[in-house]
Amino acid sequence: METILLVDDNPTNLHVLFQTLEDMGAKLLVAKNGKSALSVAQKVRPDLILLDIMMPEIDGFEVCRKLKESSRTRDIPVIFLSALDQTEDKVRGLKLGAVDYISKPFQPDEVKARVNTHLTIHRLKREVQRRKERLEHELKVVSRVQHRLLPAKIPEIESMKLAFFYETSRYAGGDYFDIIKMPENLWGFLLSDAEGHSAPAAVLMAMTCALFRAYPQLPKEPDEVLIHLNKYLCKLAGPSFVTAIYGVFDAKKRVFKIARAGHPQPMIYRANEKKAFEAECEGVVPMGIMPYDEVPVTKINMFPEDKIIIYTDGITERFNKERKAYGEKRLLNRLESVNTQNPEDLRDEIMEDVIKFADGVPAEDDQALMAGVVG
Amino acid sequence: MDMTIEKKDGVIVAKIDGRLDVQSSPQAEKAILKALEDDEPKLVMDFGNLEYISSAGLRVVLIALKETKRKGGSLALCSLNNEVAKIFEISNFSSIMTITGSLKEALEAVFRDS
Repeated sequence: METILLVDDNPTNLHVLFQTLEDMGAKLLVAKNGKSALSVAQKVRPDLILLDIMMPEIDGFEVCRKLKESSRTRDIPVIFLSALDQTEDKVRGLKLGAVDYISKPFQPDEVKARVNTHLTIHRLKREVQRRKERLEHELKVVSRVQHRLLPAKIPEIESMKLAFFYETSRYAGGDYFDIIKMPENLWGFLLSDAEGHSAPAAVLMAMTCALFRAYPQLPKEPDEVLIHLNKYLCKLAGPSFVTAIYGVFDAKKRVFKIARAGHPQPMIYRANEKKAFEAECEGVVPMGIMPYDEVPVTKINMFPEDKIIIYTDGITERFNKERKAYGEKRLLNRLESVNTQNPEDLRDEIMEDVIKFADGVPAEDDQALMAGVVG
Repeated sequence: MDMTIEKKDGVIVAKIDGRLDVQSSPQAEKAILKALEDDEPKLVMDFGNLEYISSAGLRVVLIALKETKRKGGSLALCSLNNEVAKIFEISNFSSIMTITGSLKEALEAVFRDS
């Protein structure tokens, strides 16, 4: 049952008001002054307050101001009921956060109708809030589960030290990375980005993960993996899609073989030239759009102290207040200028620069980055 | 995003200005699908004033492509600025759709491809 608090210092007025609302099916509470109204409101948190303005000591305006100050009573709708019927009084009341203003003497039917309206609005608002909280809670649970799909530990690879950055924009997300050890000192690197974010992208991300992990023995050639994932994602993803880079790193020979499906190209830093560049990798459209039986493979020879970053576009498309994107150029410059052989420092310095650039504007997309330093 | 959809000489020209991103994409998708009601639609997406397209925007273009194909029609994009063109290159979307430099060429392309 809903509760309405009636506040008036005049007992006759209170009585009339009580009688007016008696048959509405709500529980009615009364308060004869501002102080008592505030105390009841704090204790009971009624669903609506009908508030007289002219009262000794604490007047109705002051009561309303105090109610709006406290987080416990802020959301309770307040209707002023007053003999003050000047426009400026009404405006003052509404500015203080009241939802309505009824002039005295009032028409009982009008008071009932307005009370009814505001109770309904308040009920719907609470319902929306409750659903929002439930949804957010569910997304947080999805996000926790999703983090368990990522590698728990970064493996130690003979000739490459690694660090990762992974952050979803709104609890759950579509970015995914994985590293799988294969025989003969080969390592499979997958970085993918399901279009969209939040729950729909999270489902696609989990599908990609399940398909990838379902391999009993990963093939040595990176194109085969993308062709395989794409075949299944075509049945599942539409009309969304998943961009990906899949690379096989030969830790003995320091050779990266890369296949690319609609995903940003890797960036390489060459230690001997002290230069960073985007590795030209021919590719195919993202996975999930159309089947393909060929994906180009690009072979990249790496040398000690070279660096490589593979990332999702949430990094380069991180925006600032001027709606400018961080962009590939800044990322390349950063990769070139960070002087470290520690992949964690490289990752941190890149992300610090991205965050500094965004200048407080929150990320719109999920962000993932893999930083590797060749040893 | 600002969007206008006009039908002239049997071609639907959807002009999308500003940003086609996660916020504006649902509206664009709805408007384009509505415009593609007839059979064998010829659709030109004029990106002359498109400043930015995100992956959600690419999805709208993909849906437009699939829908025009399904109905036996054709699609061409035109007048992409350098940044937008780069996004189409990197995503390889440029390999599965017709992209022209001008509206005039796009209008010719949709007749040729249908």
